[in-house]
Amino acid sequence: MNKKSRGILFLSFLFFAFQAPSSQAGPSRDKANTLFNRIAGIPPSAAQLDQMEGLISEGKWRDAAYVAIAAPSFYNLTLKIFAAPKANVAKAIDITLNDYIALVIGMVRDNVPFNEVLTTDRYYIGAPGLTGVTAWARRVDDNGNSRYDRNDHYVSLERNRIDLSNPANFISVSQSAPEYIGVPSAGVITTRGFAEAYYSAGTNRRPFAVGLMDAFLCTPPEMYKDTIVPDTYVRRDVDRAPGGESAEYLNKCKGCHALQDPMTKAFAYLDFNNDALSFSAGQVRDKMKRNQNVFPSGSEVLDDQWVNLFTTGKNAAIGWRVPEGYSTFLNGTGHKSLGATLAATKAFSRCTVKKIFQQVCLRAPSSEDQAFIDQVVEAFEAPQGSPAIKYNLKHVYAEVSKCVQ
Amino acid sequence: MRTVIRISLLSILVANTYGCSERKIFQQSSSGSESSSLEANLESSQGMKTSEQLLISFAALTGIPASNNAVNTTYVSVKSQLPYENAMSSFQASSQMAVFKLASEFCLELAKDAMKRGAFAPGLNFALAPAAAYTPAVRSAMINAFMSKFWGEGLSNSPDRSEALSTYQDLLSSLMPGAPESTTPASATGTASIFSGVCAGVLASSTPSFQ
Repeated sequence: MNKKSRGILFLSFLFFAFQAPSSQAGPSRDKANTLFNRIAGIPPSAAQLDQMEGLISEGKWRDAAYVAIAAPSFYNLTLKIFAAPKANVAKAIDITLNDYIALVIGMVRDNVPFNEVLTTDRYYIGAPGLTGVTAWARRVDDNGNSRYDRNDHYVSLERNRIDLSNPANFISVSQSAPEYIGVPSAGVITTRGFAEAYYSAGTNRRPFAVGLMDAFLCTPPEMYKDTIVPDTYVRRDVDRAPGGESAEYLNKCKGCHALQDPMTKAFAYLDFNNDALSFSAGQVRDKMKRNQNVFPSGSEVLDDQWVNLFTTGKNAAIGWRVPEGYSTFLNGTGHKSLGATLAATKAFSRCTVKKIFQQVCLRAPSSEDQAFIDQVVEAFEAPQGSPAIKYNLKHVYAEVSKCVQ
Repeated sequence: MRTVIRISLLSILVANTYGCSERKIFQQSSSGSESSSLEANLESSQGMKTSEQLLISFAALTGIPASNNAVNTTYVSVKSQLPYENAMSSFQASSQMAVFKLASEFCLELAKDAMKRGAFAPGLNFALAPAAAYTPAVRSAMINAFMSKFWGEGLSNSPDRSEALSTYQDLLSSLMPGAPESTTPASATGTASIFSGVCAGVLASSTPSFQ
């Protein structure tokens, strides 16, 4: 670095150090500036700032928030940051765009109720003919039979900074159509992004424990662990006396496996191989039959009929409700019914609101915020916004942004 | 200079540590018509923009697309040093250098764009050598334009403008050909070089980087 650059760098340091952010509530213009940055992820233009300042001065905080929500970067940046941690095991927010994140962005843009995120057949791709963008395409491998649908399309959408808020650039297609994913669809559960993160290798427990319970219900295994639940459905690959100690199994392993193993049957036909999600109707994947000799008397996965044992004890607080179009939350068949059941829980709504609160307010909600969170959750489950829809994610951003005031 | 930079780095670290441990509070205005008692005690913390938020913010502020090849190359090379999340704790000592490199690349591209640079340097003739191009009036207009566009107008929580103007005037003078330690060429190339240097100094400051 030459002397000139060092001098400029010093000045940027100087104004970085001098200008610690104000800790006090400022006038409407300062509030508008902060609000826009939090929701849109970038500074406002002069016109946006003027508009929001005026609205805040009139006490129309929600309307001011919607000015920021209308900015393209709300979709391209903020919603990406909302969805990204759910789409990878490490919960990183700076991952590359993929079809999982794209689905969340598209759903919100098109005012699709967010509780459909685990069931919808929608799938979002770049419009054909976008300059510099690799077309979405399934690829045939060297043997001519396995199909690849790598992430190239979404990488190039991001590299070319295609505006995903523009319906002319970013379109919805049918996920289950043979030319796209081509399996019985269930929202993000059947995207390539989810499959790569959660179905690759392993025993298909990760998609439930991390990909759904932690990501969407904020209920990771350490929270749902309950050793009182009977271990009827614990699979054969779980040692009932690890290290020769049956107490180890009864006091630790059983607490999670008794609950999650009967639920993970929903993924019996799903896998990630050859760089793509695959579905084998009626054929239980080998990965779910692994290490059968560890405890041959254990439960064997024979189909994709799942059983919900979370409804008693402390896990009843998840708030189970019969999803629309179904008759029970106690059991079901396949990944889509599991997705619908999880998305119908109170925990799904609470978790969604809390994550957006944390994203906008830059802190986790405290116990003092609980009543406010409950109020926003109630609003989330009721028709809100324009158009008025249930599970309106944009409206949650507008509501929780009141913490910036 | 190295000592000064080290001192500055320390002050940034201290400021960030302080910001991390003390919750910055915004009390809600009681005059809001949509307010309720539940919202009266809501608080908000402070944070940094993430790597991608910085990229798109700089693109919005300069008008240079984030998809620009040179910008993207620099972004990829410094991304791992930029904040990976909004928490203040993700801002490391190396982050400010990375922010500066990214800002510099945007400003270099801005200096090359005859259409866009005009908005930031009213009256600056890029065809002239620095000595002729940077009249006192042009200097003030350019620095004020950078501050207005990068820091916003009418905000109480941005740096003091008159103090900043004076400091950037000093910087610009030190960059002029013939100034002690200056390596700026005396030709028209130097005019663009000074433009991008001052631009980077303002853009890499904290205002565009805080969330």
